[in-house]
Amino acid sequence: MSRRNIKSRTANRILNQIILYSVAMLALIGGLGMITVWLRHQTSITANHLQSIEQKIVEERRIHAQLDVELAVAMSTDRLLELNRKHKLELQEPSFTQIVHVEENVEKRLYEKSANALFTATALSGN
Amino acid sequence: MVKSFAPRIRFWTLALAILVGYGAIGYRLFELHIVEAPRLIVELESSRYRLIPLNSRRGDIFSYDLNGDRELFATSKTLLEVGIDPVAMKREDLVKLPQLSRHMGLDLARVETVFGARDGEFIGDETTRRDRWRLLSRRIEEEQYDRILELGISGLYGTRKYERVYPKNSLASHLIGLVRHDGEAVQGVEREFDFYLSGQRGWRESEVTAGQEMAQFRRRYVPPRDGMSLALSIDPYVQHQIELELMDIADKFDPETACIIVTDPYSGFILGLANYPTFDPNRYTDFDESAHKNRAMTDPIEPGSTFKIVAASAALEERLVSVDTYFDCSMPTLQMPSGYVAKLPKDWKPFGILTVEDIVAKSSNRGAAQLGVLVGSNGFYDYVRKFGFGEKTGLDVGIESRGILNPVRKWDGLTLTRMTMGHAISATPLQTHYAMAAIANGGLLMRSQVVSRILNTDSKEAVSFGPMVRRRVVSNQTARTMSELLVKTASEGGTASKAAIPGYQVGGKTGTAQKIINGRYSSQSHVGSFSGFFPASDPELVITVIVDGSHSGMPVSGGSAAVPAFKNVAEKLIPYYAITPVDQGRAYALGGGSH
Repeated sequence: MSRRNIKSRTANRILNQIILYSVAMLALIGGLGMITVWLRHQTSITANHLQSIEQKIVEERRIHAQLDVELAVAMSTDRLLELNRKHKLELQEPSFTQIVHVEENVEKRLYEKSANALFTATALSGN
Repeated sequence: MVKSFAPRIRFWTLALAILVGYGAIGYRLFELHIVEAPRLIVELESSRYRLIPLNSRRGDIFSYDLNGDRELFATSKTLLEVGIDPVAMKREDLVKLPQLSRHMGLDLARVETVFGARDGEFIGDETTRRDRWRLLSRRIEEEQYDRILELGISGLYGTRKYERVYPKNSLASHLIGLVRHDGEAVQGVEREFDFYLSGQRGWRESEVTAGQEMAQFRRRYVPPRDGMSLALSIDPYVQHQIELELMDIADKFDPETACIIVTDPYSGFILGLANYPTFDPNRYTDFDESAHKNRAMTDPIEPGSTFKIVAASAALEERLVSVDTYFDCSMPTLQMPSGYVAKLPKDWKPFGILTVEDIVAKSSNRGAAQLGVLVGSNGFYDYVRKFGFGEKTGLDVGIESRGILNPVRKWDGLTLTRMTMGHAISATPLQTHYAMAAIANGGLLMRSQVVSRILNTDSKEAVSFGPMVRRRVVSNQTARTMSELLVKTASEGGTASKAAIPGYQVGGKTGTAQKIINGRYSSQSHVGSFSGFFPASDPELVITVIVDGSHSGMPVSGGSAAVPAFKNVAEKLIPYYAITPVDQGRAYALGGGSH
């Protein structure tokens, strides 16, 4: 093998290696780039998903608060009085004059009531 | 030669190409990351960087009813500020403007003006539509906004904001206060507890493109903290009843002002406080500024005869008199310890010899003056201060007046004899009320309170307020004695006999003070008041009614205006709180109740 041929093959080998390494490096960098893009895409999807969940929570809270407001307005005294008038329900508050005060001893009355029931039950069972 | 040359050329050419390629990439990277980096970063930041503010929701204000259910007095709901982006507007959307104006409740002409259109066509070319935001309406409800979005108008969008809503309208408006449309809390509990209610706004640093946030580029995030909620001591039923009563008073007397206060004597917590005139905080701009005033705290007036409890309590506490000690109330003059002969004020009817019990029950000015003279100027002044006059009651709902109480050195020869009957001193209705409450609860002056608890966003208790005693004014025994005297005042033969409710031992004192008009006491215009409590042996409620003047010229007095109102309110609250009647014979023997 001539000296020239040996030199030529060495140059080819180096050249091939450079080409090979360059291609490998491009593939590696490209791969890394692709992975980075894919990771970023996934990050974006996850972040957007989280954001939409967050917005849903905020929206639910808002609707909940809005319902509370509507309920409070619907049950306000003014509104209930207006409904009473509108539907002619004739509902009225109990007045003081409707109160009947029991003058007798309440404990005694309750005791007698309970004793009566007891004696009646005993009498019935005795029969 | 050719064979040996070709690979070498190929080698160096390729090597050079790769080197130049990498070199170019390297240079560009160097240029982008080092040389141009500052400029590019600034450019990017300015176009995509956003500091997004995150609104916090203001806490609710509520109270509990007897069933323990929450009754909302103030809350926050979202409204939308709706506008258009003129750059994104489309000509084909202009036919939808009549529908849009209907949904928004706006004139079509106004909507067209905002859109820069007329009869379905844009006015002018695109160069006239380079601004990015034109406001259509600041207050659009959620349902309206849903209908608006269904129209699908390009460039039309809304921004949510919180606005304060008062579901119970004018109920307890002077206590609740209000938050203006610009978000500033200006009155009442809303203002005084703004620190707790308002919460903290949050913010997020992020990047935005095409109007959308790129969530993956979020950097810093400070979450908003919603405001805490306040639980008030007021009872919606009590509040409603006293406001109804005030409306009746307004119909009957057309007063300049009037107020009713209801509290628990032992805790000092307010169960109801209403003023006339009143206002609806939802529509606060529709009402006169004077209607916003919480007159029970801001307007000092001469208390009149209700103030006689101070002279009587002081004399009894100092053991200078007993209930049976008698005084000649027919005397027109009285020699003061200094030797000065003071002319005594006239009584509403001529009296002769009266016991201390009669002086209180019949409301004798001359009798009260003699009690005051017995106690002495300095001693009487001390008791006036002890009862809380001349100082704030401590109610945290806004500006409060101390009233007017001059020190003894500024008194003239008549001041003592006039002050004992409730003249020469000005007190807010709240001060008069808490002085009476001190008699009712056994001699303790309580701090006025309306906020019972502060709850965090999880409805867990953050702060709890209990009863706060300001000081002991008189001994329990003196207070009980005074209660008995005040029951006699509200019984047959007393000046407030119409306040009596059979079985409920009402104790109280009327007051009718002449108003000072143009620097002189008017014989035409009066302030009528009644402050009372029941059942006297174990008081559950203290109620004060004050009616100030009358536009219609209807005579106003404690007996004609305040006492009937007191009785009406009391009769409504007795069944509500299921207050049991008291066995008159055993009442005081029971030792003043369970408190």
